[in-house]
Amino acid sequence: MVVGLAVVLFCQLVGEIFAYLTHLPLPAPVVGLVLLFAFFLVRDRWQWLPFSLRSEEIDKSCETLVQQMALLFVPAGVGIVQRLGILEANVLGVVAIVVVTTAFSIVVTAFTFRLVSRWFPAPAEGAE
Amino acid sequence: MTAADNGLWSHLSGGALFWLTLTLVVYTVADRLSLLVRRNPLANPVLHSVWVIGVILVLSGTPYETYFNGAYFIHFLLGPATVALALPLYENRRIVLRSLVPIVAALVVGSCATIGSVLVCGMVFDLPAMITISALPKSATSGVAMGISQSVGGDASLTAIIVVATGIAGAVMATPLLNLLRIEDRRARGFAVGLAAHGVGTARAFQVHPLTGTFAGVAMSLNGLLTAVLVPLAVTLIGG
Repeated sequence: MVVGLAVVLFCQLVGEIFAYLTHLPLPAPVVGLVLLFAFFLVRDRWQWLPFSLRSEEIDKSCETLVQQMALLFVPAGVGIVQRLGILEANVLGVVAIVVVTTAFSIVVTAFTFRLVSRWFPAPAEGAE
Repeated sequence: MTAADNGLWSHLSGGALFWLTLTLVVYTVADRLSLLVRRNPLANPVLHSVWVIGVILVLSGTPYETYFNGAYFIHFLLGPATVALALPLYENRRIVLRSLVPIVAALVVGSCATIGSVLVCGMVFDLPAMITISALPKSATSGVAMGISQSVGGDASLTAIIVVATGIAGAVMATPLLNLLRIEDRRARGFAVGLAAHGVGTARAFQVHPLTGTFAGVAMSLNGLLTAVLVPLAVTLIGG
């Protein structure tokens, strides 16, 4: 657990430093994701990494974080109690934004994905 | 209520322990209930935890700041959880790579459609610019969206609320909506819900199938990136 958390946090920290130094509009966790992905690639190809960095614990920590991700949104969601006034005053528009545009995104994205994957069917398994 | 009770309450309600425990307990109960009804989308554990805790805060007259001091320990993990999405992405990298063309197309079209539709909604309902701007990054995951909102002069707390509400709405609607449209491809289903409803949608997608969840996670991380580029552009274009 400790190794896993340390690796994940370290990736995010490097992401934070990267975003700060480059002034790119890149969210630190997204940079961290790319780094951790690179780490997994390196780990499974090269054998010389110190033992603890080859530990299964890193995978387990990641699995736990991903599985419990929904819980992590609760504190920010409860923030609604702070903004009830402004939301009530614009209730129709806010509901439209939350419900209608979200449904629209799902539909447009799913249809685009299906349409384009018909034009460019995925190569058969093991073809690469 | 006796004076002793009152003393205990103010002792507990002022600290982090009580609110942290409450959040975990309420979520655990909501999650078990959702399991009991075989993950019916309407029993979304985030939705029910948010209103239950909200009602408790309002009834007890507790300021949100006090609650957040405790719940911050959970909120903090949003960033690391986004980083951790590298694992399912890595494990499924071959199938993701094989679907690269539809992924890029759906990402660009979906992300633009989301931002465009928020702008249209803002105009149709004549919303204050502050609300529309704060809602632009609504499909990016919380931590990312709040950062974007701040950088374009939005209200980050309002953004967080709209983002979580969007996630809940997407997680509740996705399954029935995609069934109605007869979209059976798990990659398309997952990608759509992850793009529109970020982490809450991704969590829902993982409940349905690991492949759906992976494509949701891919969509969520890519859309976090693209939204960070598109929202400042959109704000410049509308002269906000």
